[in-house]
Amino acid sequence: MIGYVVRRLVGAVIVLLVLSAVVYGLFYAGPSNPALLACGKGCTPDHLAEVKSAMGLDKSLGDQYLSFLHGIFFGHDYSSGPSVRSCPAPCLGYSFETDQSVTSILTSALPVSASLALGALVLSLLLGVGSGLVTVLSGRRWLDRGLNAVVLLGYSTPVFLVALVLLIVFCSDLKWLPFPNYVPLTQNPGQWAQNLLLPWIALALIGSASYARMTRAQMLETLSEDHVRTARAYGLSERRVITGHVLRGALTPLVTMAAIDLAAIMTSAVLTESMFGLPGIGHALVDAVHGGDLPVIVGVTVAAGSLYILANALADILYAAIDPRVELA
Amino acid sequence: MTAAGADAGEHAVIAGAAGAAGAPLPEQSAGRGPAGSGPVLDVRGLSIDFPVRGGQVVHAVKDLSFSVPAGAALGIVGQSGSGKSATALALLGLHRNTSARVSGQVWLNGVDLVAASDAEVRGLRASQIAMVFQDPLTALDPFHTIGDQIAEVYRVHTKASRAQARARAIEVLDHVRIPEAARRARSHPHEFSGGMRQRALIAMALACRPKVLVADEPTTALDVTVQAQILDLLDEVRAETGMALVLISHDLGVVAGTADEVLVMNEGEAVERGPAERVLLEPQDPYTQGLLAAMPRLDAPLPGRAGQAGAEPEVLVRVEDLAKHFRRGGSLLGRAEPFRAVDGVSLELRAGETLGLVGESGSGKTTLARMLVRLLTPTSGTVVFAGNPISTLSERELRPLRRDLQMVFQDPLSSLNPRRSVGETIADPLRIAGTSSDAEIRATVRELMAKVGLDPETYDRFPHEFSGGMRQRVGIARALAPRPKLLICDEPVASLDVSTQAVILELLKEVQREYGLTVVFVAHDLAVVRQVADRVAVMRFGQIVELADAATLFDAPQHEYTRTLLDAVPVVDPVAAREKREKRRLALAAG
Repeated sequence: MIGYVVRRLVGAVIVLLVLSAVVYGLFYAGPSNPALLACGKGCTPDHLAEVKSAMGLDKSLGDQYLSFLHGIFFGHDYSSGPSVRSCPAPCLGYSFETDQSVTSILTSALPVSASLALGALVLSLLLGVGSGLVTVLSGRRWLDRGLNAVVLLGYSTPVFLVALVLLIVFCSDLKWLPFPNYVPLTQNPGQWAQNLLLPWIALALIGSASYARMTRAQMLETLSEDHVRTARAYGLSERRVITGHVLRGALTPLVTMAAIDLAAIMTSAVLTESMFGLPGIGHALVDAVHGGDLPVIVGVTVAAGSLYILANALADILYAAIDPRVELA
Repeated sequence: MTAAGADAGEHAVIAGAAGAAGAPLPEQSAGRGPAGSGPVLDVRGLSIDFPVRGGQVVHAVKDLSFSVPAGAALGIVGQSGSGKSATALALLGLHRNTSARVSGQVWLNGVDLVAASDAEVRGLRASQIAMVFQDPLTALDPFHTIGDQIAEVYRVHTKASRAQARARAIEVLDHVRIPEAARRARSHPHEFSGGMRQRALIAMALACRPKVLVADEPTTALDVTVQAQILDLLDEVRAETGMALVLISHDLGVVAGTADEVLVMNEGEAVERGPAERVLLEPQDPYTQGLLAAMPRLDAPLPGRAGQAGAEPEVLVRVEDLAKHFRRGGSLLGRAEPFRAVDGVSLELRAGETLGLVGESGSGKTTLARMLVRLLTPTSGTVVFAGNPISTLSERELRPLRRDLQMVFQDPLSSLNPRRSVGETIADPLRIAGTSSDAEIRATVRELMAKVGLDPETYDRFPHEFSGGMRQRVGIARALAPRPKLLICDEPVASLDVSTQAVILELLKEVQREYGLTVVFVAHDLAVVRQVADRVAVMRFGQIVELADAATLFDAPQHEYTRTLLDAVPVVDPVAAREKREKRRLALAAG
């Protein structure tokens, strides 16, 4: 088990190195001129040269990448003229636009995205797995069909439409909720949840559809397995058969799905974030892309990649903990 | 209504009497009275219908009646579709909440399982009647340990504590000869072999000391030696616990040594019923007679063969020191020891002969067969076919030889493309050869279809419209189409009923004669191989342990493993079957 985790982490680091090299290469060796972007409007040739050397862009691409990596692990000192700016590890550089350190942009955006993703995932699972179970276990065809229709409707509605309707109904017409304005969990948990409720619902209405479908399919498959017939043949009640011998097998594949979803919502719920004015990672990334803010783009992409890899590793480890047949070797 | 009521009363009396004499107290169940103290299970006029698409109904079981006395063993025999499994499920009320319509009566312990409430039926399951299923690989929950699953069943039916239930689980696992039962009870099903899992399931059946054990094809998925062990075990636990046994099988040999009484089913009806000796040795019904005649037997006279007398036969294929190793998932560092599927096999195939290749699962027989036609590339060693080293030729150099090397597969459904008509499937090898016109190909295919007993008019039909035996004919026609020299048949009749088996084997013999084929016949069933093979090779752990003429191998086997295999083959004569069982018991005691 420990050996597996170690191997898995080594693998994750290798994937991240490859990812960071590709992203770095794409943006810094591409046709964009980083120094010109950093220098901003009204840039003189002298100033440009100065910026170029301060950013280390006069060195070879390999050296640039190595110093980028060095910055992540050990920090980096930027010297521009006489002044020296020290960027502590993990250093991902500074935004061209706001001059803020990329690390601080990430640390302020991550909690927002994590709050959004976790809540939305929990709600999606409750709604999706719940309705999936109800459709299968009730055995009523109309309920099965009806819930299936609702689920499909949710699945095919664009998030901005759902968000708009929610905002108009609950914030503007009924005035049950204030227009969302992110409040950190540490500051006021009640307000945190209140402000995130609508984005959670919006994402869950869409996300729960796939869980409902998966739950339904998995339940039907597991119910037809031989060992379920064995449990029934040995006099176990239907409730015991379901809780003891069906649910675990049927719901295990949802773990992988949920882990990937968590990473996906954290990094790419751009529309939801902008509709509800949440300063999350997706928001930061879109801003950076618009402004040609290369350090932020590279930093966010590498951070998002790490999240995906972590989520996958977590899913694998959970899977092995749930299913005795999976050997972590 | 009144008649039914009277019936119920009468049965309640019988069951009550049995209960008083027998054992409401679980501890007394061992050493209960001998057979004949009244039926524990009484089935009357059982009918089972399955509604199918289009409002039609399949009558799976029609008006079936039988009874099983306490401690007795009833064998139910029938081919696929005879209704035997539907009957087995009905004995435990397992058709409840499905689309099946069950009528008639199944009396057990004074309760009619057809009419009783769900809760009542649940209470009887495991405690009065238990079931062992066909496929031990899937019959247990993969998520829970074996011990926990048995303990759970015990706790559902008794007021036992967790500790008591666990102790009972270990006790029954020990009873079915699971070594180190206390430790193995903590294993999950995937850590057990097929035979061990079937033992575990029998242990689960024993846990609540039921009066009746229903075993539905309990050994069909197992190797022949393991099958013998499981049948011996069932016989032993029946003797030790005094419970009645209902043993269901398609194989007359499986029930022969175990059942006192045999019931033969055909298309949902009982065609013959009586003491095992009478039904199996002097069958009265033509259906039973046909079934027995079709069954390949080890004690039948060896079929005569046109031996190539005198002249040294020409060698078609020469195999030298052939090996196939499969890599096992190693880690980043260190490499795991490879799995040696075939490990140093040398043999010669004579032109025109049939070589039987027998062995249990995992013995390497299929891997070897596939290397003979280069469906697999050997790890080392050579296969020389008519002077060509086919084990080392490139795919390009091999192509002209491919038509000489053909194969017939085990599963006639999955080895045919479901979206291609059977005619086109048979035509494929001809089209690949690309030498004839479309009309010629169609004519050749129709000719082939007629030859293997298929109606040429079914050219445009699809595989799912054919029965298993008919599909296998398609597979054979496809293999014959390019007029091969070497035909490999990998378990060609393993998934077919005995009567179909006999027909397909006859067909293979016929085409072999006509086409002058050299045949390698891979099978796990020694009786089948004995019918068709001139020479037989016995494989174990990737090696050939014995290779001899059929007569020598079956009458005077040299290798001990061959003898073990032969001793494990079920025979139809109940007396001989019991003698064999005794022989195995002695061998086990001596070893």
